Amino acid sequence: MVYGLTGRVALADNVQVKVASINLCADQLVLLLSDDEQIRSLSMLSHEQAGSYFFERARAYPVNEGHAEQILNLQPDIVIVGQYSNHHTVAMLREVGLQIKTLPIANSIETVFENILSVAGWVGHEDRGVALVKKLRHRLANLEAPQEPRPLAAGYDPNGYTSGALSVRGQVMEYAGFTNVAALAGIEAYGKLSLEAIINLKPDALIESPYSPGTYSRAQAMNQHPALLAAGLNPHVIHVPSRMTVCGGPWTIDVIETLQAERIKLMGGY
Amino acid sequence: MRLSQAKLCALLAVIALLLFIASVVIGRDSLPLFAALKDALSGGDSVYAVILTQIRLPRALIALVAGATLGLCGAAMQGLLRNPLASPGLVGSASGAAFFAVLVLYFGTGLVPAYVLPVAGMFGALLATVLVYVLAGRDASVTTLILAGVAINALATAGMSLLLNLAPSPFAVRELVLWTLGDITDRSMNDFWLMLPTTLIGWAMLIGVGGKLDSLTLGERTAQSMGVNPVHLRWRVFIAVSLAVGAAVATVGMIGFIGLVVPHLLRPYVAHEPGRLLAASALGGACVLLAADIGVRIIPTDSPLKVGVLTALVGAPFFLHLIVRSRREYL
Amino acid sequence: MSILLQSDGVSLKRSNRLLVNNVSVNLAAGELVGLVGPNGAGKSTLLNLLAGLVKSDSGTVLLDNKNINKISLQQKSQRLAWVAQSGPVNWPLTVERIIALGRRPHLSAWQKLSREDKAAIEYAIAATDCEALRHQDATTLSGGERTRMLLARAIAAQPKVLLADEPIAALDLKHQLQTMQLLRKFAMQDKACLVVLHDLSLAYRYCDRLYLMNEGSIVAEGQPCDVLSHEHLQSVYGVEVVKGDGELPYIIPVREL
Repeated sequence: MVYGLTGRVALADNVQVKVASINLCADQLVLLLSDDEQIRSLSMLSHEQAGSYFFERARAYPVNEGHAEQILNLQPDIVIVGQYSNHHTVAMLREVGLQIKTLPIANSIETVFENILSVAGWVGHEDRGVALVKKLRHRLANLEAPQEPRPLAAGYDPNGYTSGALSVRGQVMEYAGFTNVAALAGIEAYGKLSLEAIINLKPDALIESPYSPGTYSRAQAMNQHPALLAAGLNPHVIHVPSRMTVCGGPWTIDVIETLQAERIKLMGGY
Repeated sequence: MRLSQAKLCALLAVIALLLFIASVVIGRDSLPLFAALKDALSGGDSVYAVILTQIRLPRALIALVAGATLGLCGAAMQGLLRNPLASPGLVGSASGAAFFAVLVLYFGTGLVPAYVLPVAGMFGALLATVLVYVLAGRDASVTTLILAGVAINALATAGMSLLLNLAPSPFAVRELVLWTLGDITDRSMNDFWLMLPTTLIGWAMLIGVGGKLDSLTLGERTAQSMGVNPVHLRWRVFIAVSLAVGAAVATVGMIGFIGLVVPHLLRPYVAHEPGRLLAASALGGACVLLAADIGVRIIPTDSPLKVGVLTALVGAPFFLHLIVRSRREYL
Repeated sequence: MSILLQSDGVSLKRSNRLLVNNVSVNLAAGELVGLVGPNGAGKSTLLNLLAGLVKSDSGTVLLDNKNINKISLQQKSQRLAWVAQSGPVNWPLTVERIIALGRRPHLSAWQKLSREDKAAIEYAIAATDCEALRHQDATTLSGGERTRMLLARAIAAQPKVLLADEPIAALDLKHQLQTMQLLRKFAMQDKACLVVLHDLSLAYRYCDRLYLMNEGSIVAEGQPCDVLSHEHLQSVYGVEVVKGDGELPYIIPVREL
């Protein structure tokens, strides 16, 4: 599903807010919610297939390396930065009088919605944000009620990185009807899941979303580990493209729906 | 090779000045320089004037001052320890500064005012210096001093690793790691004014140590018999380097190899005299950091290159070359 | 004769070993004094104490009748020069520059060498036969050449008191004689020189007075002919010697006792 802009009617008496973004996740929401001619610049990463959901659309716009000088040259009305953007740059931009909007890291589906509403407001299209969030909430509410017992799943990225309940990916797993083993391993937000923990917790599925797609899959390799085989484990590996998990957005609901379908397939196989 | 001290320093100063001007002129994006200059001088606030006076000027000034600090302190440490492998990082203040800066980044990124970071860095540098003093004792030998410095380095590095380990999210890790790489991008005049006093105190403390370092060529005992108090000299250089390097690291992060390689490079041109090397290395260090900082703007890379990475990339092989050459000479 | 340097019952203890035990020596203007004794007798340590490089545990050292620890380092270094047994040279400076370092005690931080400074350096270079070495890299010198250079550095300082630790140990015969004559000449300019020597024949021949040291104490002092008696040499060195006390005195060790 592609989220284009519907009803792109620029109001003639409305002066368009010119926006520049130096943060990948802000790029996505800017592309989603503003009009073409509003966008002065996006972050360099927005052109990357691996992390940028709208990478194709982003390629129509100039990119910046997140330097104050470049941004200043573009003379945007607002600059959207991330919570962890280079603070020297942010301080500098603020000092030279640009209006800075800081996009928080989304740690829940609810913050994803809040971010959508914030960016929509910043770029002067509050209505679009409200409409989109309403639609997304509707889709969330219409998800099939999960069946008990919920299958166990673990988010599993290179080096055993996993996400707990206080993260978008953790919540996505819950919405999709899985029980996230991260909570059982004592991980709240982000952490590492050891091989031992996996053998102990016996997840039915491993959900991987490595940043470099098409290369070696850690989760697949995990399945081959003698310890796992010896323990009689053969978790179902679900691959989610990283551009759908790096940042939160409407596609996050797509991921939930995909995982739900995978869960139903998995349970049917029992 | 046979260049008088005045001529050598004048030459290096001219190069530094040219690089300084180049640093203001050259950017990733071109700037209508005359228009910008005209506007800046007439007190205007066009975008170009702002870029010139508030972005490029502080960047060039900080590169100049931090580079000079690294070169000068490298030469002072090598002279004090009579070892061409000594570097300003040995005193522990650089990693102390880095640790406290990372601590601030970890706990309050985006929440605290911008000046808190360099101030915390300088506090870390001073704390590391005081710890070394307490650890080594007043009459510490050079070896004890180095060991204490190494211990503080290890402690600060361990602290940084801990913060990276406990960082709340992958994004925070990225920010912390990038900070330690050393970078001068988007520093403001405020950053420059903050680093300046501590830097100047450090520099001032090194004024006049040249002759003492020369005497030290003949060993501490002989130098002592020639009127040098080795304990005083040790602490004077140590504290001076701590202050100046701490200020530099707090502002630009860790920039390696300049303090190591620049004195090495210039030593033959000052007839290997540690005293004369000080001024030459300060100017040389300023030249190298200015050049490297111009380099990261010119070299086309996908991700912006950090100046600390460039100096390490160029410095490390060069250093290897020096070692191989000296081995050929002495074996 | 005025006493330029004297110690009054100085002792130094390091890790429970008495390195220097209640030693009183003095150096008068115009004197070349030898300090002899077997290895480990404490000669170098005594020299360090006399040069004020190490603080004694008890007793005092007086330079110009002033406690040496109360004189400023600069003043002390202008009055007294000390030459290490085998001093390091850490950077490849030229020999000339090393010798010029001898003038540092007389210069402030930024002062350049004056004509007098240069004359003192030239004298020291000529006196130690370092002319040919002048432009050489000081780290490439042989042991003997280095000793001469370091002695030249001390001579260039034009001190009143010179303390030299085994300055002729590494020298060839010609330079041994040259150096002993240089030290004599130095003392004759109303200055004082204390030199640690192992060559007893040269000590006998060139020194006005000798101190014989053993196990941290001075066991004999006075004229060379008295200090270097058969009994002293036997009890301190544990060797039997053949010696001649004539115009050209000599001492040759014959066998261990």
